[in-house]
Amino acid sequence: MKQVIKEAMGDCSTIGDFRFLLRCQECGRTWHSSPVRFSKAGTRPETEGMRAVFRTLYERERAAAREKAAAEASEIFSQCPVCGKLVCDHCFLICEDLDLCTACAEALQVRGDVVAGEASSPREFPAESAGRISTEGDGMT
Amino acid sequence: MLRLSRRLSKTDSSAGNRSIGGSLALYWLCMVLAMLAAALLLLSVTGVLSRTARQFGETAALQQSNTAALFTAQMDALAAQGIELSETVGGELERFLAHRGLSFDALNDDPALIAELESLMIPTLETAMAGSTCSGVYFCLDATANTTLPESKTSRMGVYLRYSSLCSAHPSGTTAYFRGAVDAARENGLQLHNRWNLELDTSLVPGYRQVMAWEGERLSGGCLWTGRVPLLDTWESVTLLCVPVRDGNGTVRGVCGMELSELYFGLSHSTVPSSYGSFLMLLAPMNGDTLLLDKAMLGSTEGTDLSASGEMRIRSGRDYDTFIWNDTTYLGKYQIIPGRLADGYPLAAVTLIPESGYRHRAQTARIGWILGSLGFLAGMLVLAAALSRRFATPITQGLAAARSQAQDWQPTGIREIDELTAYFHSRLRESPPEAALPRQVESLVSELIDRAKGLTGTERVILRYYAEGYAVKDISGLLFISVGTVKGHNSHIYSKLGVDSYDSLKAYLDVLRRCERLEELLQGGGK
Repeated sequence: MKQVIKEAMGDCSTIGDFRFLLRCQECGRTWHSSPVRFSKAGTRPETEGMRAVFRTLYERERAAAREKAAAEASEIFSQCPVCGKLVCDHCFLICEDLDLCTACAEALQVRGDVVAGEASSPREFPAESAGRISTEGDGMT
Repeated sequence: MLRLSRRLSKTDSSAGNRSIGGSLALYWLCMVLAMLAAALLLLSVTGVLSRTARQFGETAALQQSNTAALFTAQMDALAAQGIELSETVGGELERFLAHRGLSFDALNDDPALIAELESLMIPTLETAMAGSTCSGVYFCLDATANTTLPESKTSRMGVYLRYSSLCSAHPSGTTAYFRGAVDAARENGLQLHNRWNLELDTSLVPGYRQVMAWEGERLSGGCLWTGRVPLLDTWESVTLLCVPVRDGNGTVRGVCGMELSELYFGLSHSTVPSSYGSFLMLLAPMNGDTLLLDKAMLGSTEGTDLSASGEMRIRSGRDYDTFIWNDTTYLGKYQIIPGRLADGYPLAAVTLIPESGYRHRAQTARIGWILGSLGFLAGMLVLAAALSRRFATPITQGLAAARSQAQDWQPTGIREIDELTAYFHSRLRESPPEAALPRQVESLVSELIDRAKGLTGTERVILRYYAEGYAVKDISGLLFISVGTVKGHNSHIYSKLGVDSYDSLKAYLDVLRRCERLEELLQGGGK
């Protein structure tokens, strides 16, 4: 699951922060991971050698931030067993026999409870407090 | 019930079988005997049990008393025969001189008269020699055939007869004419000794002057024994008994007596075999704690390197005495016996064996004890092991029978075990076939299984994952659903099963696993 999310995640990192996004393939809303600060942010490399070192460090920390972001995303994203889309908890239903995305549930005429629905999910998902889901259509970088 | 009663009756009938108490008593008896054998072994190794020293001391003391009695009897007999010879010689001398009207001094420088007198004496000497346990007999008178010779002061007339070719303890063989006039020998048909001489050299007889100077009433008071002295011109050594010869006036005119040669003494006192080796017998002058072997008479020394030379030191011990001669150790006993020696030393009768024989015997005895104890110990241990095995095997069989619920168990032969097994089986028959859970737990489990019938397929899958120990995040990854979805299912599972938290759910799953009814729950209430 984590591998699927990592492959689907977009990278919107800057020179000072690492950040990733994932778009719900059903509703189009975009989820942003919690930003992770680059350890050498604000430091200017003075030599070419230092620059090379910084570059290597940046790549390593970005890979680690991606892992962390994927773990965060797995808190709120599910893969529909029918269509294979990665959908957020707002678009995924807990059904009687098989959990489905809203589109597939509608197509198959199966009823279920939305995972992120008020009634069926009385507790707040920790991932939502960590990151955020916006309705803005961010482009994938 | 019929089978039970038959089994119990079988147990009752086996009341005559052995019991645990009896078997244990037998086992412990074996162990006690084994410990006794171990103690015996320890005592054997230390040599306490063999008591060889004490036994040897007793044997040596017995042999020593025999030796002392033998020597004393022989010396007393020879002394009595010597006195008798002295009186006969004195009487013959008196008659010889009286018949011719001569004085004793007339014998000097008259070889013909001396030869006549000696010829007269020879039958008397032969009779004395045949009747005594000695190797020779002699007499000499204080007169010489030629007073002008330089050695006339020590050369004295007389006759000395000896056995030649001695070959047994009983004195026998050819009588040789060792000292005396040739005419006298010829007249009596005696063969001259190959070392014959006319007269006796009194300087070689240590007690001669003492005897000649003796003044007393009873001849027994004048008897003396010489130490062992070499016989002139021969390879032999002898011990001589010296008895004064008196004339009618009571004046000592000479000496007579018997000879004990070294060869004759050795033949007549052979070794005495014993379990410690052969006992040797010695007759030796004693100076303090030293035996003077130079002057001693030795019995047979066959099998040893002991010879009549040097000195032998005595070290007294509790059970026996130790004799050290030329770095060789002998063990035995000694005893002072009556008898006067010319040089004044007391005479000791000694019985001894080489130490090696005693050591060999002691070692053999110790090895015998050790082997015996070891054998006994091994036997007891084997017996104990066999008893233990014979005792333990029925117990293990009985325990196996007690554990198994088979009805056709065989009696072990031990009363207590059979009774216990029969009791267990009777209890098993009385108790329900399956162990029942407590009533509250049973109702709780049943209720939970009933409620699980309402779970959906996905919820049942998640519940199985929980039962297998997976966490929420693991299940999220396994099912490709978000953690939120899993938690959504959790809330449904909780409400359907009537559980209020994840910890409670885990506790219930654990209870069901212990009751072996978890699978029933996970399969939705059906078996």
